Amino acid sequence: MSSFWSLWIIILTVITVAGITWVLFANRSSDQSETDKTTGHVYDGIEEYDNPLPAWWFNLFVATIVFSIIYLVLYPGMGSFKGVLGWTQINQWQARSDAGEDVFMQQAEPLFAIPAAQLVENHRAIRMGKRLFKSNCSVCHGGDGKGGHAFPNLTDNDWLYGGTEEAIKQSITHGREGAMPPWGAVLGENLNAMTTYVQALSDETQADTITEHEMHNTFEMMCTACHGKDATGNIAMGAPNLTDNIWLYGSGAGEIKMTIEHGRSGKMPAHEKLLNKERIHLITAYVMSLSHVPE
Amino acid sequence: MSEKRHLYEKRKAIFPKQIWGNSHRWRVICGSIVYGLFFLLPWLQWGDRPVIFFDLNLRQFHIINMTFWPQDFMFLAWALIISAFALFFFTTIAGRLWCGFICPQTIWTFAFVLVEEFIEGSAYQRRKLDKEKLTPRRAAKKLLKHSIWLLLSIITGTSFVAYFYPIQELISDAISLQLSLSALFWVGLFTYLTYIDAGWLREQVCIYMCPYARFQSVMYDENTLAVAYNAEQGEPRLSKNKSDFDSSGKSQCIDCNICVQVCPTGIDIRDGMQIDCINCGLCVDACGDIMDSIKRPRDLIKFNTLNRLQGIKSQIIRPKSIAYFLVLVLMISFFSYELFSRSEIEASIVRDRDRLYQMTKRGTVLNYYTLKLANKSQHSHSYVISVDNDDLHIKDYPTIELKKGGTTEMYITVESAPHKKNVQAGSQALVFKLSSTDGSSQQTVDSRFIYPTP
Repeated sequence: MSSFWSLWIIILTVITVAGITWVLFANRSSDQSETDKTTGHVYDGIEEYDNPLPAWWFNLFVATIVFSIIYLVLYPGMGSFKGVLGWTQINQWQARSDAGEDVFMQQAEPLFAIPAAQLVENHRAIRMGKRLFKSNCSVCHGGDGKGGHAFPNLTDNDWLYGGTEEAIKQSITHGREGAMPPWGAVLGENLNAMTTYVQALSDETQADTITEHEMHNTFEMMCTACHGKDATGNIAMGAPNLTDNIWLYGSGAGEIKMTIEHGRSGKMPAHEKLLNKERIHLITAYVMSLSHVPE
Repeated sequence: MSEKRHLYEKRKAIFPKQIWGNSHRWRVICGSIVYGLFFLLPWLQWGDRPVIFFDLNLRQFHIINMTFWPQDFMFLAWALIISAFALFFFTTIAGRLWCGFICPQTIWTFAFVLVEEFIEGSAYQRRKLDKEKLTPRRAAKKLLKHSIWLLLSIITGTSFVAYFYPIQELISDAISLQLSLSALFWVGLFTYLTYIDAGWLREQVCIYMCPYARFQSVMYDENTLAVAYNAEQGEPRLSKNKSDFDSSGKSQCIDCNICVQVCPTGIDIRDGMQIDCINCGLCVDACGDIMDSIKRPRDLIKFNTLNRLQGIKSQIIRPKSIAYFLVLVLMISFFSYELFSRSEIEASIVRDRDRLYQMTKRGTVLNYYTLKLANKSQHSHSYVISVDNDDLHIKDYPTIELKKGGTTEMYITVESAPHKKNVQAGSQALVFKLSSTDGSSQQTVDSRFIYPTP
């Protein structure tokens, strides 16, 4: 605020407070003698009495003026004067936010000391994890964690990058980048054949004849580097298992063909800067609980 | 130049003279009911909780055998609307009944005045005592009076807070000094307000603070009962000229001033209808007693209507009262219907906003929903959920067990049948039905199912 506007506000405020005080004190009594008890307003034959206010109301008026002066000393109001309390909205927000964080940390710290796998049965930890999941993860993975097209299902115990506590924490903290390169140009007219081969990989009825498939050798040459010799994937690079009938980008022939021809790139964003390690720990516990099968 | 006129009025001390009569009898009856309910209700139990308990922590209002949740807030609105129309209706017919006979401000003030009278004596003695210097006798009396007032205020404040904080816990926490700061604050606030209102402010509340006083007078008309002085009969007053004495035996004002002396708001009813009059009827009784003693009828000051004062027949049944009555009955009917037909299940089902649908390898389509369920009844229940489409079903979900007052949140997946006939491509309405297994309550929730277009 420029000093002109600051001064302008101060002058207006002072004039208003002083003016109100003057009006109040100057109107305690009247020189005019009472001729008539009414204000002179008449409507429908009803006249309005000019009754005096009770004396204690006058004190209430004075109290409001005193209040406003105390307020203007303590809090910001007089132009750019900050008030002796130094109160700001940001301070207040920060204080409340810190208080909330303290409460959270009090609860979260003892839980952080326990391995996530052991928190799976801990009702409190799972509830906290669920809330954090809902506010941070459900946008992509769904409220129930079942994922969707291009977003992994977290409840099926099938893990692209591994389902251990460390692997899950790594995924949340630093994110993941999945890249399936496009093979359309390389495969050329074999694209459809490769699609049927990939479909056959997860078809139990064709398990015995898979090595006789025309694309078997091509697959071994081009795809096993990532998806593994037995096509069960590689969690080191997030290459999916192609034999388990779980499909990130759809199981239809058209979708599989699309994946092979044009490739896919998936991105799990890093949450390092958004969530502290205690929060990531609780989310990890919750994610583990989603696919947790009680023994 | 004339003398300066003060625009603020110094408060006149009022020492109402006690009088026992018919209207006071009614006030004692009404007051006893109000006091009895107010002070006793917190002590009555219903199962494991007080019979009326506003649980602010859990946001549940328990009233007798019903529990109201925040979703039932409508009922509070209905109750307030009914109260307002009841006030309108009764005011139109019989004036400020509320003010004179039921309003807590009035009956607490009367109780405090009773204490004052018991300790400091009659109105005359009190007036004298207040002019005395601060002698030990006066100090002792004042101290005793204020102590008793404060005690009454503490009981009132505690009883009020007891509707939000079960009284046994409140008292045991207070005795063991474990009362939370907020509970202490509210007990303190209501103690203070009771003490100030009934002890010090009294008629000032009615005259200067109460909005009801103002808008109740708007509802008056010529047929409304009100405490009124019959000027036609009363004037000229007898004290001025003895020769004015009406020999016909009519009641006539003898200017004894008793009506002014008994008035708790310090007005002279003979000046006509005034906003300050709370219709307590004390002047009616006082004047009647005087009329008895001079062997005249007790009708100089009485509950009367403007029409009757002018010799016109008064109508109770008239358009205004009929209209208010009909609206009142209508509101009560709506309220009762809503109350007794309300579902004891509170369910909300929200389609997952992140995923439109998912296709399975079997050629079926999945839609995802979040279900929130609350058991508002007084018993434990198990619930089942179904959908209204034969070709849609809910994938593996358990029967939901909820204890009374319990809530749960769960994810449900609706799957289409592989050979769907009744599912169209695109978005279609889907109705979920939740019912308790014993059939005691059920609720339907509208939602949508989305199936991909080919």
